[in-house]
Amino acid sequence: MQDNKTLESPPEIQFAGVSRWLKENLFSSLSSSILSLLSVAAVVSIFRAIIGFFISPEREWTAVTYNLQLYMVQAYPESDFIRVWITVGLLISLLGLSWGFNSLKEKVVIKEWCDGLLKGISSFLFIILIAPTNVDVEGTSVEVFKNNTRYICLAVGIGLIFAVYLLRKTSPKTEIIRDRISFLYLSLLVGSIWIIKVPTVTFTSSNERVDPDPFLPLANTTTIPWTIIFGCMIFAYLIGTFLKAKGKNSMSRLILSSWVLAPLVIVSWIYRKPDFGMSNILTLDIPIAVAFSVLGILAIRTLNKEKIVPYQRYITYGMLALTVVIFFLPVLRQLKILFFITWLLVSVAPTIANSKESAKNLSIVWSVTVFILILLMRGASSESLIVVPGSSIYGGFTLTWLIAFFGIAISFPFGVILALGRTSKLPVIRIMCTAVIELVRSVPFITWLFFGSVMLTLFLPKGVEFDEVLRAIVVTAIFSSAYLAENVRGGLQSISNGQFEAADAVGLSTLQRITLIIMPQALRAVIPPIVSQVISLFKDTSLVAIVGLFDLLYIGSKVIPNQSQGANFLGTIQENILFCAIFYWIFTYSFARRSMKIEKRLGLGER
Amino acid sequence: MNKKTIVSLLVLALVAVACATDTTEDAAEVVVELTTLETVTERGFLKCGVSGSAVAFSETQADGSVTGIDADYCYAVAAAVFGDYSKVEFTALTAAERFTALSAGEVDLLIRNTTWTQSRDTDLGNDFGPTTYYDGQQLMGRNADGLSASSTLGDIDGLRVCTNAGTTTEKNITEGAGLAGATIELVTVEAFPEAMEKFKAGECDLVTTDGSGLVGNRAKEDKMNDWAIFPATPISKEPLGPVYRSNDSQWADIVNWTVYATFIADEYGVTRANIDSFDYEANPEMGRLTGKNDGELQTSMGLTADAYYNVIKQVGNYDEIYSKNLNPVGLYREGSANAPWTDGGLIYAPPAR
Repeated sequence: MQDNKTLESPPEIQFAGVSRWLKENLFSSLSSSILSLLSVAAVVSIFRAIIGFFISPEREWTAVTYNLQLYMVQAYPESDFIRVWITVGLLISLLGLSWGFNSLKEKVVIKEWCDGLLKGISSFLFIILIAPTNVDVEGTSVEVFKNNTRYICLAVGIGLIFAVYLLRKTSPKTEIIRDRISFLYLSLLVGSIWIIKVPTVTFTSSNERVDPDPFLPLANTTTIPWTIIFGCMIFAYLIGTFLKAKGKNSMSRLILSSWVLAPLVIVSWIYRKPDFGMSNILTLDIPIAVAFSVLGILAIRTLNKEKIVPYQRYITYGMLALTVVIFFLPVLRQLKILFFITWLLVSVAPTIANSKESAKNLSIVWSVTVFILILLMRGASSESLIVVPGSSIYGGFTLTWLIAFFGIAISFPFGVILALGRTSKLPVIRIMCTAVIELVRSVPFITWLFFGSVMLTLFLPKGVEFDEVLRAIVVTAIFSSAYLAENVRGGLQSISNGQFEAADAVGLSTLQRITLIIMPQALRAVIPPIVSQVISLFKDTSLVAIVGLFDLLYIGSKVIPNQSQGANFLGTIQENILFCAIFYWIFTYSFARRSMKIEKRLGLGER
Repeated sequence: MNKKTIVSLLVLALVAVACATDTTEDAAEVVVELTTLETVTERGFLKCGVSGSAVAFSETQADGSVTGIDADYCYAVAAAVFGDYSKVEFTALTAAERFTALSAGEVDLLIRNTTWTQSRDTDLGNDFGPTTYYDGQQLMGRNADGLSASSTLGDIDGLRVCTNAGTTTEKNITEGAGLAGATIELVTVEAFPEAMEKFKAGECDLVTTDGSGLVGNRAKEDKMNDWAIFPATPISKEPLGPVYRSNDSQWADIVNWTVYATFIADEYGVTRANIDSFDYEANPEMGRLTGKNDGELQTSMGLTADAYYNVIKQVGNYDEIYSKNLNPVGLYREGSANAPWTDGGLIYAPPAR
């Protein structure tokens, strides 16, 4: 038997000086020396060109900074920005809560952290060192990066390196929680918005543009909300860790449902500013909600009485018939939906509420669901008080976010259902699911968007109109669920027959087999393709520009380069495209990193 | 997660779709064919299809507001119908979907720098209103290449031309160059700003699109003396104006006369500033048009007597609309087809009587 120690960790390679490392890795022979020098020259010149491009006086970065509001919320009126901030704050706090609750309190040794920091600072120094002093603007050389600034930056960088090196030397083995480091970075980011100055377009009293554009600090209307939101996030994180420490595992369900609810509340109540009318809620919504929750609780109680049991099936059928009839009657939409979910309740209650305890739980869930639903529907069906010049209150990054979030959230369950349907043994279901998947996949996304935007109205009865954004979300979700279904099916096929047989052998029902045995394994196996799917969906949202919705990229590539009034950003396309690229990169890269962490946690690729 | 949570989540997800839908109650309505005017007045605002990203025609500004000559004519029609120019909802339409959106009733009016052509007028179930801007395709090249404002298509032999794909500009330049006996290399890009980038980077010698776009870009880049726009007579005719659905002559009249009202006010020098102090006794035509003397013509159209007064008062006459939107990009009326007919231009309105 081998010594355990050698198996676990190979002997640590000692750092043996810069010259030896260079000799071993870059200049081991003549040819490798030449190659090394050539590639260093190539890297330096490419980076010099890129940096020169960014800091050239020809770049009009004011086109980006001046239009940031357009980028983020398009035409959302400034007087109601508090609603946007509440939306952002709510989501970020929720993020903090989940983070705190799910945090593994991973620890990192100071030495490793310092190594990472050193790499980061060295890259910064490298960029400062090679940044060109002069750039060529139409044949004449213009100084863009003063040597004094360079020396100051270099001095600061070297000072930082020295400090980090000292820290690394003095306490290399001390451990810190990784989350704290993340919070340190975030607080530096939030702190920096109080000091940085950005180039902005300003106008004189006679409405003439001031040239050159001055650097101004960010407005208080930006810095204060972000600071408050950051505070809320830390607070939520602490609550999350506290709950975790208390061992309240039932909270995870609550957090999950808040992730479902929060976006719905945002789109129905917060962002839209509905003109709901208190009297409507008091005289209509609350009585309906009370009536239906009482109805549901009665149903749960009676359905499991022994006398009723033989008639359960007929009650379900009767309820279905009633739902269909109600659907075609000219009554409030709320009632139609409530009848529909009552039918669902009646069909599932006998199986779920089979004990007194579970009947009580189901009653609570039912009442809460009914009340939340009624309120959500009231918000969504009331007229919006936000008046914008365009056809939708969603635009810019808000639209990108909205379509991506709901697209992913809706497509996930549908994708799983389609995948299960396609592998089903029942021919009707299998053929239907296969048909849907193949039809959706074989037509380009843009065609579906056109279909949703332009052709759908021709098929619907006159007077029935869907919001343009809703159509885009539905089309995105359907399209993405077809791809997701195929990814999930791949996962299903990776599960050996033994698992199915084992599940049958211990007497699990079909639902239990799928939710407890098959799906956890299948989904775990296909995390990488699902994450790719999410990333590509996030980027595909830019295609909604095809149907005249102003998403982030459309604003950058078409709208701002065509602004001739006021500030005049005619033709400033490069700056805007670069900004959009960086913006998309930040989000997709964080998705990718996050998924890598999840894979590591699940031990994917190791078993 | 236990069954209860799954079921409640499923239910929530199902309802989420229904929840976010629009407000219209599904109450069984008796479907009556409404005229466009009835639809618009019932709705309370005008749905106007614009581009949202066309220089000087319909631009979206940093605060999300829409400006431009097309947008102003949308405002003008709203002012005529409602007496309030702000009752407009702009729908951004791409070139590909604009006509479908109009026929499907997604918009009441399409003012999206759309060229009036025979096929669009006859085939698509649309009608075109009076032209609000006479444009024409031109080319822009460098003086350094020996090009000047008096160059012709014969001078572009062997040069690379950049343009945006999918529009008539591509076809016009190929046809024009072929007729002039010039061989050109056509480089097509997706949108015009990209063509401009290629031109600035020297990847093409010429760039072509409607004259209004070229002038604006030349002014912005401050190259008045380096870049030449030619030929003097554009290689195509691009009359741009409002489009509405066929077979609704009441709506057509309203839109047409909104445009004409701005022309007539321009002709008599009636502006936003002086419309209240204007001497209507001395000019009975203006008096009739603004409803000061007799508004019978407007009321028989289904509008209020002072409908066109509101248009001039709130939006302005043609010259005001033009100067506000097109002067900043370097386009002026003098000497162009957009000058008033009294100065040799094409801006001409039938008499209001």
